Amino acid sequence: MTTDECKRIIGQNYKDIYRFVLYLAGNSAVAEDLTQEIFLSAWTNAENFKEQSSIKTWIYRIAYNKFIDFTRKSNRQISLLQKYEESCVKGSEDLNPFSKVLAEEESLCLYKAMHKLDEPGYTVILLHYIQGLTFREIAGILDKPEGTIKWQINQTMKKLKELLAE
Amino acid sequence: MWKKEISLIESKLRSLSNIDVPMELENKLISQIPGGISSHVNIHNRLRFISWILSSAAAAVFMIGVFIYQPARNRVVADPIAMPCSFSIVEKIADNNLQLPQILYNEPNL
Repeated sequence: MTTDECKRIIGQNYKDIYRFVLYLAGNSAVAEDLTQEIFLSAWTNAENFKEQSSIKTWIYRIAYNKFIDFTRKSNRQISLLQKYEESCVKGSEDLNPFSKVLAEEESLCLYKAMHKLDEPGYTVILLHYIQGLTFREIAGILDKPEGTIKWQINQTMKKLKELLAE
Repeated sequence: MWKKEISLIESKLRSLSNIDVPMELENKLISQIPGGISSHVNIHNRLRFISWILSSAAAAVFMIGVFIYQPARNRVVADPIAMPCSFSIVEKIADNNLQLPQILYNEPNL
């Protein structure tokens, strides 16, 4: 893999990967560090890329595994909502990457409801609706059958609707 | 009604993707690429190629030893025509009960 190819891959994917990790980790500094680790890991393992999946799916898969490693090491699940609320209390909304998207009351409610979902449900919803990935791509990232992903998204949406109705 | 509510949730979820990404992140990521990473992969490939060459050479030497050199050596020893001098000397020693220096002295043409 040449330097130009690496640059092209970064240009095409870094925003999506950062956003994905940000929603998982809930902290912009952690998301930035993880994004750097993810791409570094991608280059060092470039020879393991078999082209059975797209490069995008492959990098997402590395990202998800890196996040799992990170949560194991830190031994805690960071609450995205908690981080957001803390930053609001400190009056640092401008520094918070979520301040723009959660400005509306409806979005904030939805966001709070999302955090009541279980981890697999939260991840598939994040990948499908926020990241805009197809069922097949999500199946490739999470190493699950496509049908399972469809079912999981359907069930999670029902759950989310119930949570919003409460 | 149910579908309408779900599609509303879906559109709200999609709007959550509108998050700003730090501008300097791309440069940080690009600065990680060069030298180190691509040459790391190249070095791996080169080492693999060199080890392949060395193992092939070792295999070739072994094959030459087993299938070409060894039968040739056996053939030379087994074939008296290939070593007439040695066999003639041995026969002379056996027939006349002579010592090797005597044979060489009496019949230098051998």
